[in-house]
Amino acid sequence: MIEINIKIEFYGRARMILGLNSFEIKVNEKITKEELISLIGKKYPKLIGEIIEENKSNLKKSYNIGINGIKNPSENELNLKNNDSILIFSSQAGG
Amino acid sequence: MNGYNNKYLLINLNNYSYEIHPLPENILTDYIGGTGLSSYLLYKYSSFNSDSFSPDNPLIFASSLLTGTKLTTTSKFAITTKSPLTNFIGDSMSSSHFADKLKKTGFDALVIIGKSKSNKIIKIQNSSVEFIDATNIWGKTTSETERILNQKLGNNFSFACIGPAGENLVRFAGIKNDGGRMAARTGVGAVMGSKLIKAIAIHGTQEINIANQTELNLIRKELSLKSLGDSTEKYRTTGTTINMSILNRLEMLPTNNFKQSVFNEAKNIEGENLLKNHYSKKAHCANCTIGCEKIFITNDGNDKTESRLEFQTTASLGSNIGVSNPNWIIRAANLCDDLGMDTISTGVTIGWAIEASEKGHLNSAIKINSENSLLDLIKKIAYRDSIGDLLADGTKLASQSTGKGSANYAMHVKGLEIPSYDPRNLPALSLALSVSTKGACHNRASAYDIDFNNKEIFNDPTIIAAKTKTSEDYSAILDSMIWCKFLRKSFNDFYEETSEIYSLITGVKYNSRKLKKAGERINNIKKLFNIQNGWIRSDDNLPERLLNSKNQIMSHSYLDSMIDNYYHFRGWDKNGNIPISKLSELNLNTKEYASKNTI
Repeated sequence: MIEINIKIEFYGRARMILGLNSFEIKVNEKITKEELISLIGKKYPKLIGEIIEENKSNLKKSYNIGINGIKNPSENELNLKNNDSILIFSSQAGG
Repeated sequence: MNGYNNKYLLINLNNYSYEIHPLPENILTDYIGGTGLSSYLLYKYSSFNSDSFSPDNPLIFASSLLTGTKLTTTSKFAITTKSPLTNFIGDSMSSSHFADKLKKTGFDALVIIGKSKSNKIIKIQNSSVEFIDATNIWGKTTSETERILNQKLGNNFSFACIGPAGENLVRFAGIKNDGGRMAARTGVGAVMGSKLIKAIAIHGTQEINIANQTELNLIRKELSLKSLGDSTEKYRTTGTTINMSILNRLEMLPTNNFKQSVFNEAKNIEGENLLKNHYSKKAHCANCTIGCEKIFITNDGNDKTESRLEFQTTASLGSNIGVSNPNWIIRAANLCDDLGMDTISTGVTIGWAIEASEKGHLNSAIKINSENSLLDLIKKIAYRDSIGDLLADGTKLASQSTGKGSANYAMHVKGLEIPSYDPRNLPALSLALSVSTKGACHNRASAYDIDFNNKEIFNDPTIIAAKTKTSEDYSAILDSMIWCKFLRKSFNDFYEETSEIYSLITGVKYNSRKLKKAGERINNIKKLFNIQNGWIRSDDNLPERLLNSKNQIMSHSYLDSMIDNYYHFRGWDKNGNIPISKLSELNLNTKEYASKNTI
């Protein structure tokens, strides 16, 4: 198992709920999207039911996850590298 | 046909006359309402190649099939005309009780042609039309105008009015309606001003027949519940101002006239800060369960000013002109509303002016270094005072008048200023902005959705073009039925469910195939209008600044490739013209069209 450092960044409502812009965490480089969401939910339970589904392993459908940008992994494999940033933000529309 | 009034009102200001004309069933099923029906009527009544300020240019208000049904988000109407910014088709949507009252007059649309000899209010009460002297309110702001008209005519009426910007033919003037709503884009207010119409007062009592009210009630309740689900959570809770922080992080926030894509001071004006320190209250459009509007208030100890802010306004009047003080933005947005001007075009035009001044391309020095400098410049534009006279023509014409290469950094498409999504790394949005018949509008395809919600398609112009065409046709149906775009993800199968609703209201069997075809037809008649007004392929483009930066996806060749593919999926030729076979397929080759068709 290879551990890597990643940064989780919150935008919009997630940031407002937590009063937190980001945090860093060590994870297994093979971590899946569902495992990562579960990890975030465990660390910040206030997000469950708001940003994270009640099942604790998926974001609600109006939220996106991006890796270092807008790339929106539709599959469970994230293929993360050391120092990657995971962005959690509301779907973009309107204004 | 049930659900419609099956007629429209034609007002001729040249002789203050009006006529009632039938709307045949085939026209209503082909164009539906809203932007579709108003585009059809614009085509029907236009003299091509005339100036947008000519009396010949029709100004059209259209409600829709859904207006008045009490289905959530459907109190909407479209205003369509030849845009004074683009000289192509211009349309703008708005949501308010004005839509319901327009429909209750007994007309599905209002077509205004000609030009009044003096300043007037058009008062429509059911099928009665009066032309009232507007001398006493000419020159008033939009809020003053509505307040005075409300006192004079009573609150049974809804009003659509222009402010000083519309009166002074500012080419990006909008039409304010029903106490705080604005059909802002493409200069529809300037066209109303050119006809010397200050306001339209409207009141109706006609009921709409629904073929199957019982079934529709069930759907209405279900849809209202869905509208409170996850897909609208963002709009209900935070509103759109929170777009700024993530777009800044993604390097997609237009900054300093699109010179940069990151604004270092964005933190001050991003939604998270506005909601924490400036939030006043939530507001709803008429007949809407979502309530996306957030009203913000100044907090700097000076006078308390409130304004509805959306992301586009905070960016256009913020990052794009280097402003990071939320109080300035709230007051500037409030002022634009009161003067009757589009905040997107105002901000982008000021951004151009600042850069032109810095480069020595303008004789006037333009700096936004205080709140007063910003508010004063906005007023100068609205009143066409000094440098404001040039800027009131929008970035395209202002840069053409100025010369000296200033067109290279005039951030518009076809004359319509670009909204605040930097498209350099958003290829679907780039394509949609460049080919849109209206010019740079983010809402006629909502194509950023394609960029954000698909995995790694950036290098495939074919897929992007196909998806953008589909999204444009889908948006045409949203804007014609009319559904609010914020509701769009509340449907499981949009076309099936919308077709069923169409059938329940009208009693006429409709299906998703016909609905998709209608979306395609509506975009084609808009294109046909533009072709008749001199459109050529090079009009489908982006400003040079967006095509030649380093470290970006977008380039001349990539955009050209996407456009080639887009024309292919549209069934158009390589130059973007519509072949006769396509016109036939869409029922656009009948005598009515052929008489004007030069293709």
